Amino acid sequence: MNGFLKNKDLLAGLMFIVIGIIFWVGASNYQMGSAARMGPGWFPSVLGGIMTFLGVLIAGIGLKNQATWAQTEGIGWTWKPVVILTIAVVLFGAVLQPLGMVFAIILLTFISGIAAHDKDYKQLAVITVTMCLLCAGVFVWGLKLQMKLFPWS
Amino acid sequence: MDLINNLSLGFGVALTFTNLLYAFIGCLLGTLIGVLPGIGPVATIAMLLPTTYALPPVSALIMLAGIYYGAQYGGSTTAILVNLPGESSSVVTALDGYQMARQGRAGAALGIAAIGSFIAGSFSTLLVAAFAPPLSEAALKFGPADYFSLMVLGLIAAIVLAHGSVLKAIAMIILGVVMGLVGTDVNSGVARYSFDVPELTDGIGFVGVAMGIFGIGEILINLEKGESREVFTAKVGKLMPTAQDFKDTWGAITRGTLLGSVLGILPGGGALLASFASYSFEKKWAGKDADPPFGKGNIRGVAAPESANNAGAQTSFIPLLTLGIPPNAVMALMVGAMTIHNFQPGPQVITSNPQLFWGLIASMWVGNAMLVVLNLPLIGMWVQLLKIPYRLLYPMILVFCCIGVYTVNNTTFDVWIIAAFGVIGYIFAKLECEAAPLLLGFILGPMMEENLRRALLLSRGSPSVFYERPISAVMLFLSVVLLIILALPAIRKKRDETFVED
Repeated sequence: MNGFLKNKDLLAGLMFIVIGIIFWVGASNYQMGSAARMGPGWFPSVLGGIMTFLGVLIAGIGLKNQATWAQTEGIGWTWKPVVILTIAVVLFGAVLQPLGMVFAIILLTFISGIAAHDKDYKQLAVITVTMCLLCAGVFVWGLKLQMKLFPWS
Repeated sequence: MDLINNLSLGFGVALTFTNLLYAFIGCLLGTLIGVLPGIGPVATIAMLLPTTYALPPVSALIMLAGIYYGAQYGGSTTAILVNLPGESSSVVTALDGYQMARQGRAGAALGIAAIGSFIAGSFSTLLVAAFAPPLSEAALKFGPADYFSLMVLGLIAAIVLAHGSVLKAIAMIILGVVMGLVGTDVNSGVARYSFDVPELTDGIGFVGVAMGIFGIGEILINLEKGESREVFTAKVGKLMPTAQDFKDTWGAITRGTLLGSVLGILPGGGALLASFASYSFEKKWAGKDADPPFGKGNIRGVAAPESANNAGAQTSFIPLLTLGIPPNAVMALMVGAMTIHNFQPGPQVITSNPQLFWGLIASMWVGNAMLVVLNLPLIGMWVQLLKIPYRLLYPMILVFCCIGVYTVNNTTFDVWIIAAFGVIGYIFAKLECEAAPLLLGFILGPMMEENLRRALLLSRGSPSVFYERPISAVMLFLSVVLLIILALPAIRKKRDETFVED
């Protein structure tokens, strides 16, 4: 089983098959229409079909070369930075409107900073302050975009 | 002389104090962000887009063009000094440029890159000015079927440039096209694939997709690799190339400029194709007895691709401005940016808004001149920037991405979109599915559907319209030829070699 998880073509093919089917099947919720009077479902259903077909081809090629793939080191997913950065960005979005830009930036830089191999919180603090000043200067004071700096402003 | 009249109209717009200022700021910011390792022009433009919001459309476009050139040039600087090309079009510059830097000639490499770019930029600006008007006129004869076929050709040409598997590249393009269809359908008002999420009925924002995949996705890949950078800051050396350098490179610059200009116009072309092609061409031209050999610090290996990529970057505006069709991912982003400023590129612009059109073209030249003036004296500052360790750099990039995408619509949802596409971009990269074709498909998708619909409506559902109209037939014929060529084993091997070369 592990051998199959090393197979980038197989996995990519499966990904395209799944997405293709979602669009293909999803298109049946919308009117197909005829070629002359194309409904909203026509184009996505055709494309979903083609994508599924391509996915099958890609996965097939992957299966054919399975022996070679099994020899490789594997894909080497490293999920830790992915999870950390995703949390950081999602929190930034959630906090920006209620708490303002400064808190959002602090959260973003410090949480995302955890993902580095060589952490240095002092330098990170310097960067955070710089970014807050820079963004406030450019976006809020300079370009006058609608963004509050603090919860109370 | 129409050309001179038009250009003087353009320079009248571009040389006003405010527009010069915006071109300057654009170049400066573009270089500033573009010089950071691991950030290409797509991410740079996406990140800096909000800085143009408050400007009137002409100034905004001029500034965007400045950002683009700056990003392009910043990428070359990084390639030469750190051997870490921020974008694929500087990959070949790194080959000889970095070697020159190791030999203490970083200054000369940077200097010749700037000068070559400027010469190439000046020539290709003239080319754009000369070819845009007749092409715009020709484009007015294009019917929906022709547009559709042209876009098919453009997308297939994009596959030539994608790394790795052809099948994966096609699948990525189609994925981009269907993603572009998410949201309310213009014709029927049906919200497609919005899964009852109200924000999705407006479609997925292209800035979010671009920043997610090319900004955050890149960071994730870089974090995984860990840091291995070696900056040659000790001695940049004299910036002005010697007389001998000029003598050695003028031929390379000329060839690079010509080749780059031609390749930039082709659908699917642009800076990337231009720099790769001109490097291999120059290497062949020099033959085996090049001294020093290519890849070992030959200055012509810097001059040729740098001139070519700038010329290509410039001329790839031609299909965008005349047909409204972006030939590559960067131009796709420019379309998105222009739409935000209520400006729809296409053949009508040249007549309906000549000031904007010619102003933009003139500012291309201004931007190029600015780069020489700006980069050479500021090189010390860029070197300092390159010393910032990645552990501090990526939180900064994240802040720019998040705030940048938020300011497009002032919605939290867009921030979450980049989080999602960051993960998606990471998965794509891990599975060796290249994302640039996806972005192009994403922008072209809705346009393709619209033109397909119109074409078939006019022909009462008969597909014959696609092969009976001569323009459309030629485009489709070329697409088929391209696909067949791609499928040929010999060519495929050659293509793989080009991308892994050296």
